[in-house]
Amino acid sequence: MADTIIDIKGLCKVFGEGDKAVHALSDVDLQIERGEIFGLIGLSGAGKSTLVRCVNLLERPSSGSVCVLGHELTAMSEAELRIMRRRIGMIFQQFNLLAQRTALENVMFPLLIAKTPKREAREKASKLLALVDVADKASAYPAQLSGGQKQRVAIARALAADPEILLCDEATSALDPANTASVLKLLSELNRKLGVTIVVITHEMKVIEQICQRVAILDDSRVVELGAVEEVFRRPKSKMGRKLVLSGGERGERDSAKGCFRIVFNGEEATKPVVSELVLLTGNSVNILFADTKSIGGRVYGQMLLDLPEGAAARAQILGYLDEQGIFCEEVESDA
Amino acid sequence: MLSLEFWRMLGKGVLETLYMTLGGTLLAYILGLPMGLLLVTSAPNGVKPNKPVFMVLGTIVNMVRSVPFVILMVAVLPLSRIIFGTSLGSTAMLVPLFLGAAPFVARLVESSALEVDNGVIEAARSMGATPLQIVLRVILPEALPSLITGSAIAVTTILGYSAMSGFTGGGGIGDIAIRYGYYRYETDIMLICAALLVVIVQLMQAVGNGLSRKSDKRIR
Repeated sequence: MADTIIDIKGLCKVFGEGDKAVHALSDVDLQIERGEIFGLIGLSGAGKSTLVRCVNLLERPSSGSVCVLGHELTAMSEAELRIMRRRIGMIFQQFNLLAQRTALENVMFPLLIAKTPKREAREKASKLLALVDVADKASAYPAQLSGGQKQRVAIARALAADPEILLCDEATSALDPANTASVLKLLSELNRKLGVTIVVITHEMKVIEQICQRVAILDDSRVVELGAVEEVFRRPKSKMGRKLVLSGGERGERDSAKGCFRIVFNGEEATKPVVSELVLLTGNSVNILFADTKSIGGRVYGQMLLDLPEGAAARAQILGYLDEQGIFCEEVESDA
Repeated sequence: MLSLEFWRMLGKGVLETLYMTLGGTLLAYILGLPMGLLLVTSAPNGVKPNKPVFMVLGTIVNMVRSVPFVILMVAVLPLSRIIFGTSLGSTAMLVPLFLGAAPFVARLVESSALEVDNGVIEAARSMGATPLQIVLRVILPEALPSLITGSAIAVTTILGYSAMSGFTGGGGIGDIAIRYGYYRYETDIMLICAALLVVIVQLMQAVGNGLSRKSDKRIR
């Protein structure tokens, strides 16, 4: 049933020449399936923005193949590419709305450049603004909108040409937490309602956790890890993966101290007082160094860092208990 | 001391100055606006890079701009004789004004167009806009407030150019200032002419700023 909508093979992108050459992407392979929300995470400079720009060929790859919706983009002429780009919407960190046009005119823009009659474009743009919940701001200029509203208008604009793919380049990085959550919710709703495939680029694991089904981790121009979000979150294999998963909150160096264990909640009963039961049953005290859990529909998701007492026996007891409860637990390696 | 006849002459001078300034500006924009946009589009990081066009255009603009206007004026007035049959009067002056100001306008337009956020241009590209659509529907409207501010600078500069026309009998306030104020040492006439030029510059600058602010949707 695998229906690959974006198929990237052996993708390389080099900026500059000779000694000054910078390898932004080295031999990247990536398959994205129709209808999924795919996450691409990495630190700044890892090459994720370049990678997403290779999907609609805003950036021409140095070598490799980019096959989107069954078409090999690298073999296309500029004119063919322009038609193709209408089937690939894109939103940006800085929204990139036309400052001198109203919200409605911004959404009409892609339709008008595709020669849609004005009246038709206006009707469609109004519907899209209603879909993203900013219908009342149709005649406002971007300067009069909040960040969240601007990104909603940008999403409506990106969807105007009925794209099959929506690329999101750090779409929530300029937003506050409340707006980030609501924009992410909107994106997953649109994915469900319209069936649009979404590629999310971010440097925040939270964003990935919240809406993505699969994730690729990019480090130093390469894909170092790829898999289901749950799996990667639970058991990150690469060094960068560990770093990203563990940096879910603001914490200092002590994480990498010895005797530190990470326990992962992945849909357990929220009402069960796991940690206090652990303490009571095993008679060992633990120190919670960090906790980032949330309960969704009565189940807990998230992780906790525990500082366990020294002594192999006590540890074995605790680990045994967690294992009994079906809670994933691993010792955090010090990689400092 | 200053007769009715003088005031009549001054009135005609003001009209001639306005005619030369506004006419010259209009002509300069007809050539300078596309030139400026072409400079931006053909630049190495423009929407349609074209090195030869960029280099040649840039060199021509720099060459013309490095010639002092008085010299350019004298050099191209023979062209006016071919076109208008005379090298005297305000209409004849339109030719040097047009040629002298167009490259200046091109640079003004270029700098306004460069102010347009690259991200917005990238967004337009991601929607499948052609380079021409990007220029006409993104760069021009987004740069409009800055283009208007630039045109106020162009108008006042061209007004200054037109005042040099006195040396070649081109008419206008500058002509009166040179003939009466400079050649005949009539200081009061010189002062009146200078004051008039100041008032006109102030008015045009104020109108330009006002229009620019009114057109800008970013502030409000």
